[in-house]
Amino acid sequence: MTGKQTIIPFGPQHPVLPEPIHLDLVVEDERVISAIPSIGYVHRGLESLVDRREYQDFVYLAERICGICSFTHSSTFCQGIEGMMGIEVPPRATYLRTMWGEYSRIHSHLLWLGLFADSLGFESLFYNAWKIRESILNELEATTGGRVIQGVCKVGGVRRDVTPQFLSEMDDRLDGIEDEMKELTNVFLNDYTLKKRLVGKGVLSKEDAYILGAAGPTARGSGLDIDIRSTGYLAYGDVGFKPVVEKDGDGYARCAVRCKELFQSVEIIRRVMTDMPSGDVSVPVKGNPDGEYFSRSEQPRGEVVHYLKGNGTKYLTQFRVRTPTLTNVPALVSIIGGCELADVPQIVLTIDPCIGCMER
Amino acid sequence: MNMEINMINVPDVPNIGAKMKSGGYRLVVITCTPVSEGYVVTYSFDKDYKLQHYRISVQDGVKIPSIGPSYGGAFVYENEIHDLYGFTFEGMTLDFKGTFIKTSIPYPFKKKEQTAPTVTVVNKEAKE
Repeated sequence: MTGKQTIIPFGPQHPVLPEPIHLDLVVEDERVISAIPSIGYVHRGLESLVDRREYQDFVYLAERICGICSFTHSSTFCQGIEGMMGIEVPPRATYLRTMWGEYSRIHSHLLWLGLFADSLGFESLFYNAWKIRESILNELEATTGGRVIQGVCKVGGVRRDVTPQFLSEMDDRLDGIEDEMKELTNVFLNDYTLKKRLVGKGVLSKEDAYILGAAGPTARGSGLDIDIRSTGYLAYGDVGFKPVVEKDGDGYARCAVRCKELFQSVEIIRRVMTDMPSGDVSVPVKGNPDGEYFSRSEQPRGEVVHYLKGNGTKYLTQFRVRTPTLTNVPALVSIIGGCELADVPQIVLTIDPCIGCMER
Repeated sequence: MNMEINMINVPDVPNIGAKMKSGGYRLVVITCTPVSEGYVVTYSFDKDYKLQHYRISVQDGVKIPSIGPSYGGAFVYENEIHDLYGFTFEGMTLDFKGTFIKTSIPYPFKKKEQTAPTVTVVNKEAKE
C-alpha cells in the first residue's frame, strides 16, 4: 500500500453503462476508498411539462419517463389521478394492469441479466437472455399494440381488452418461456465465473439498506422485506403476493432476487389469467383533479413514487417522480467504498441503474 | 393512501428526522412544491407501508437544516432540490455545491419572477 490517493473518473460513458452516470472514484492502489456520484447528463425536466399538458394526455408523457418501466409509470400516474378524483377502476382493468406490470418486470429483469452477462463478456448468455425477452415483448405487443411504449393505460382504466382465447393460448406460451428462463437462471446462479464475480462483492447490510433508503431487488437482496406489491394495490391483494428476499446483501443476492422474481411474475400472470373478472375495462371520467396525492407502485427496480397536485383545472400544478434508481444511489455509493477497482463496473450494474428514469 | 400532512417549522426538521428514524421509519422522498406564497417542502416517511408526511413552508433564501444526520440517503433529495429550486440545505452528508444535477440554466424549477407588463396603463387623472 502506497497510501497515495488518486481520483479515477468512472463514466459518464463506460462500456457497462447503457446510460450516463459519473462517479469520481477515490482509490488507494487498487482499492476504492469512496465514490462521489454526479448525475444530470440526461435530465429532461419532464415533470415541469405537467402544467402545459392536460392531465389525461400527460399519461403519455409519464409513460415516456423510462423506456423499460414505461408501463408502470403510466399506471402509477393514472392511479394517482384516480386516487385524487375517487375513481373506481373496473376490476378487469386492475387485473390487466397487473398482468402488463408483471410482463414489464420480466422483460426488465431479462434485460438486466443480458446486460450483466455482456459486462462479463458472456456474449451467448447475453443473446440468450434477450432472446427470451423478445418473447415477452411479443406478448406485450400482441396485447397492447406496443413493445416498449404501450400507451394502453388511461385515467379510469385501460384502452384494450384481451380475449379469453388469447389468454388461454398465452398460458401455453408461458410454459415455454418458463422452461427457457429455468435454463438461463441456472447459469446465473450456478456458473463458477459468475459466482466468482458476484459472491461477496458490493455487500450492503440490512441496516444500511434501510437507512440509505434502498428499494427493490437492491433492498430485498439485503434481507429487507420491502415490496409495494405487499400493500395489495391493483390485483395483488386478490392473487396473493409474498416478496422474494435474500439475506447476503451481495451482488449474487441481488441477482438471485431478480432470477426468482422472473418465476414469481410468471406465477402472478397465471393467477391473473385464471381469476380475471369479466366486465368493462374502463369507466368514463368526468371533472378535473383537485388536491394532492402520493401514488406508489413497485417497478422492476423498486418502489416508484408519483406526487401529483391538482387545482380543479385540467392541468396539474405539480408532478414529481421519485424513482428507485435515485434512492438506490446512496446505497451504491456505500457498497463501492472498500471494493476492488476491477469490481466497480459489475457492482454498479448490480443495482440495475436506470438513469433515464432517475433523471426524468 | 394517507394524505394527512403535518405542518412543522423549519428549525424542527432535524428533530423530526431523528424522531422518525428512532421510530423505525424509512425516508421515502423529499418533495419541493411551489405554492402561491413561496414553496413547501414535504418529507414522506414509511413504516409498514403507511406513509407519514411532514411539511415546511419556505420562502426564497431560507436555509433548511438537513436530515442527513438521521438519514444518510437524504443527500440525493436535498442536493436535487438545491439544484432545481435553489434552496440551501445546511449540514448535508454529501454537498455537491450545485453540481449534482447539471442543468443548462441554474435552478430551472424555481418560480419565474413576475414579468413586467408589456403595456403600462395610465389612468385618466394621471394623464391630466
